[in-house]
Amino acid sequence: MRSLRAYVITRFLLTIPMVLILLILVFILLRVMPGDPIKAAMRPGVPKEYLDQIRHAQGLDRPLVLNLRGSWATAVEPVIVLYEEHSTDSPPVMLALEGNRFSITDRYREGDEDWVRIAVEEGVPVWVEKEKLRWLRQGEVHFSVLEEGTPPGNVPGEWVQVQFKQGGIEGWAPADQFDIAVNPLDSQFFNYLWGLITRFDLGRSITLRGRPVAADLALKFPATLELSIFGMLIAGLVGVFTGAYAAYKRRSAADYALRIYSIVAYAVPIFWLGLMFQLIFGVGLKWLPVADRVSTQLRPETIVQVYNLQEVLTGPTGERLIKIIEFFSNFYILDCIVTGQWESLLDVLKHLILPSMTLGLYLSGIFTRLTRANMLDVLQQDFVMAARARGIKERIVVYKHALMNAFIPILTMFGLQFALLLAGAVLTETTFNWPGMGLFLVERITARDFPAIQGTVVFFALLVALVSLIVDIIYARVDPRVRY
Amino acid sequence: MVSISEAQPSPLVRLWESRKWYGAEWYMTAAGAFIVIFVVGMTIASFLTPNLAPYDPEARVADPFLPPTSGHIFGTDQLGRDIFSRIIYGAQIVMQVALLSAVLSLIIGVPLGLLSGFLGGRLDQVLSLIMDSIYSFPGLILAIALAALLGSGVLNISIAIAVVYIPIFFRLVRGQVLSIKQELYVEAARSIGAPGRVILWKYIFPNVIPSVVVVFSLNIADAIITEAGLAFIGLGVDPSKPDWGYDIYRGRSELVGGRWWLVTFPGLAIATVALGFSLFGEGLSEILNPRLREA
Repeated sequence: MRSLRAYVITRFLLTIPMVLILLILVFILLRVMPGDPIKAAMRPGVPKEYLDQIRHAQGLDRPLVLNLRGSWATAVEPVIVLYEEHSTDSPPVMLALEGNRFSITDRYREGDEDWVRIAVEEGVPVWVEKEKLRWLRQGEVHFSVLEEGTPPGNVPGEWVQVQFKQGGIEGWAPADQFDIAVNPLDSQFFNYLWGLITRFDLGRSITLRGRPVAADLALKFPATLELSIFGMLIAGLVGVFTGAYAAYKRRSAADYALRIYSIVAYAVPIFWLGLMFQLIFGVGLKWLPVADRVSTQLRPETIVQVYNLQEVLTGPTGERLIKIIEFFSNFYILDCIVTGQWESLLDVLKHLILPSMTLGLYLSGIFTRLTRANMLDVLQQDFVMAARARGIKERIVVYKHALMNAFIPILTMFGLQFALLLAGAVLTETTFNWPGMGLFLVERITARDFPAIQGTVVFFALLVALVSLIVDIIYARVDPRVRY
Repeated sequence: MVSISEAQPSPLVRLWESRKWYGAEWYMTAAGAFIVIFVVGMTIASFLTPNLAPYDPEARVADPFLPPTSGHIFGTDQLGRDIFSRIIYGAQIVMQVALLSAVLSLIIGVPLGLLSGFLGGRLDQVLSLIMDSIYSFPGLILAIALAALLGSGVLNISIAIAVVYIPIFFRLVRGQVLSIKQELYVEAARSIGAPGRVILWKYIFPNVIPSVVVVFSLNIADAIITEAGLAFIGLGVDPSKPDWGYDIYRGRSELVGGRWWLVTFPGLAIATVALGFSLFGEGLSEILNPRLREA
């Protein structure tokens, strides 16, 4: 028999390639898509410079997998003029001074010509040609002017020293004027992977002014989790009881009725079920609210506000603590209980009923079926027969002896339906305007914000992998036979 | 002496007689088959004639928001179009997408599963890993992401949905091939020198077909719901055409005003058709796999 630790390690090592494959698939899918993802998110007619800024900030100007053209360029000449295109005939754009370091965004090699396109980062002072600056100002590119006058080296033309507020500016220059550092791993894929592993960086949104996707998901995750927990509870209660009853009354009318129920529950579109609930309980009977997590006027004050933690906790440790507490504050139920806001709690629970009923009933059909199958399995075992032989009532045999023993496999099966739960949550959230990760994904899709879509999908993948890992480990701990 | 073939009743009679053996499963399958045949027939008819429905599904034929009356039994929508006619012609898009996506995943998943299970080795490992990764991911979310990338259109939405089902066919077929490979008759064929291609095609493949048929039917049911789900979040096939999921998406905002008929009837249509394919597949699976029938 293998030890539990050995099993956990092997299981964990198996998770890595699966997650990696999903990452690669998502990555490839977003890149092979026809058209420019940045243009897709923008209004038509946005100036090229603005698009370039975003492309650079998103890291989409790097090569896909391997970067052989060089990633950093340090100026070795005293003053280098950068041009609009890779030719000295095109208008000059800006100046690079000796020792300045830029990232390379493109390279042009043909015959003797070898040009690099470099980008100035945000916040770095740079001399820009006056005409170009006028054009940038019209294009709503934000910058602040530092100095007007003659740049070092007496380059002809009119120049202004500015600092960019978001993104930067790009220009072409001959490659031999720079000292070029090549880092083959400075590519879109490896940068993404590295950011994900080291900083849990899920990318930045294009349309939400470069907001990190991870920050948004941290806000939305509690809403989804709250909904999922209650949905799962309802699904579990309904599913286990109906499934056990069907197994108890196997091959009776009730059994067939419950099996048809399980098929119907799966065939009814979940969003339509939600809409029907809204119609009956919200619009018709006016019992329950149909959208959002809480009434606006009853939004619970967060733990941080109620206990005035902002003033109590100071310093870096306190900051971190406040961040964690604020994350938990987005679980409204927990938040209301901890801070004793009972009126808000009631309101939150009222908002939760319809969405979790929708999600729960949708999942319950599958749980009915799984419970029934597991129960029938257990009912065939010797100890059940022994119990029956001892004259114990069939009802007690089924509900006590068999159900208790079927519990572990049933629980794991619940864990394995997690992917289905998430899929159901996306549609439920859309139906009930529930501000969770699913609604976030749908909103990002409407905005055609591809980096945010990629980040959300990757987060879903990580979540599913993590949950299935945990479920498997629990199962292996409870049932040692699984470890083989 | 009476020959055996003479004593055999016609297949239809045998099908009818078989209800006595199978009991409830038989009625489930029959009910499913009835819905399936009805919907497929209606869809084909709607392609052949523009006069299947009482009104033009894309034209304004009455005042908007008419509740169900005898003239418009399901009422009219926000543009004054007849909802009943839209449901009849809305079957076109749903059935096209469902069928195309199921067929696409079948023709990719089944051969890959056959080869992977039969050949084994490195190919099997790599394919299984890729398929398991896709399989573990929430199908609807994958379809949403793909549909958002690929854009609208019957083919694009079908591809987005098909990707989700390829691993299902793959895993099913691969598992079956692995177990059939161990059967005595396959070993016998191998021992008389049958080449691998023949074993795969003549001995293994026919035994895989029944469960593929079952899963195919269940996948169509699932694809119908998925297509509706995509349309509901705005990733519809074609906004100008009647489409059940997309009609719900548009009628959603009218719910608050109590105009229930805009979303209720298209939803019922989706549920009924998905239920038909589910019942058919489930019943068929019980009939084809007697081992599972009773514990």
